[in-house]
Amino acid sequence: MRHFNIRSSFGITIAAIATLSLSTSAPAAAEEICPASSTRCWYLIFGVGDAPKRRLYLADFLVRKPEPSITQIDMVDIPEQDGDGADHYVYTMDFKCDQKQMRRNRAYRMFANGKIETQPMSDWVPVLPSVFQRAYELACDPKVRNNPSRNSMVLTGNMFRPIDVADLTRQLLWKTNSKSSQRL
Amino acid sequence: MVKRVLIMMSLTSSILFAPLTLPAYASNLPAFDAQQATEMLTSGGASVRGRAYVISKRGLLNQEKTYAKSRIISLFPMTPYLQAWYDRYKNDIFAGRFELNPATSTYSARVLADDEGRFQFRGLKPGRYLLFTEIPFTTTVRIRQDTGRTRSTVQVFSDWSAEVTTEPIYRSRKVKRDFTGMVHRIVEIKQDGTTVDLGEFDN
Repeated sequence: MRHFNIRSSFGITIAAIATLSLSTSAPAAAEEICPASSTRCWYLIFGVGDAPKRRLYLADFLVRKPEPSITQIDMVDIPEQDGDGADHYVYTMDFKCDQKQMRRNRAYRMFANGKIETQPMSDWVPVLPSVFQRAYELACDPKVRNNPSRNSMVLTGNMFRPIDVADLTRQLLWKTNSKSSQRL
Repeated sequence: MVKRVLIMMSLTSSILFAPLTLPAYASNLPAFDAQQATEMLTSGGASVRGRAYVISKRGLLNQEKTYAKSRIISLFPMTPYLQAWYDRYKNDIFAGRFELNPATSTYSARVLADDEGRFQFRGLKPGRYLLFTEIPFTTTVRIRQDTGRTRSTVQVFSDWSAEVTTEPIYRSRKVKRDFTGMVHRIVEIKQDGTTVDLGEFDN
């Protein structure tokens, strides 16, 4: 399995899309890209693997502060093919920015048939490398959120439902539709 | 293409109804309840699929369809607010858009139709929804232009009186014009785990 960020060939493609998509809206600030009325602001932050087992991670830039010491974000994990049959995973992650710690507040995985399995809250642990490091950076560093393209994060959309983000990602980046899609 | 879609999905999709929107109180509609819309959009096991089109050309013998190729398809939970709005404007959606609360488009399911106009929403709960999409198309229309010249006709009667009729001379020609068709439909999911197949549909 090969990890990549924006420097891999796939990443370069994503970067090109980012450049194109952002070029029409000159300021790169996330707050300006996602209107204040948005309830979601999904950015592609990380990818891993080779086809047909690629995996993409998106995060909602609209961070929350449920407590003064905790910064919270939502993430979607989209496998191209997953061994356990999950269509996608949705995490709500908590970060203690000053202590560089994280925990899974809540999470679920959704299967193609609509079945959902939830996971309980985890303990606080040091921020893990790779995708969670990226999530930590965007949650805790306003400079990253204000310059997503410079930090290799690509605007994907403001869809309200995570499942719509998963479907769009597959449709556009992997040129496949959802696993359960069928022809008329 | 990808660029256009990304931009559309992220930026312009939410302006579906946003510009020129008047406050909801202006039309005496019930208040939009974001919490209720959120609840109606939580994950379920049902799906909706279909292929929307508009009639872009009507001929004597045939008609031409334009499908919602690569278009955004939105599915709005039918909250009491939206139901009241729809009851009022279902015969004139174009006008109704200007009075729709912009939050309605924020709290919606949204997918991108494929290059044949087929779409599928997954993860829906049973309930009533309003499906909406816009389909641009180009069609040929015949326009009549005044040439600025006139034609006079003299009619002489049996008593040698005469009547002169002058009328403008028109020139008729065909031109291509761009239009946007709006397709909307009430969708009802009665049972979780089922797929509602709308087939091919227009208004």
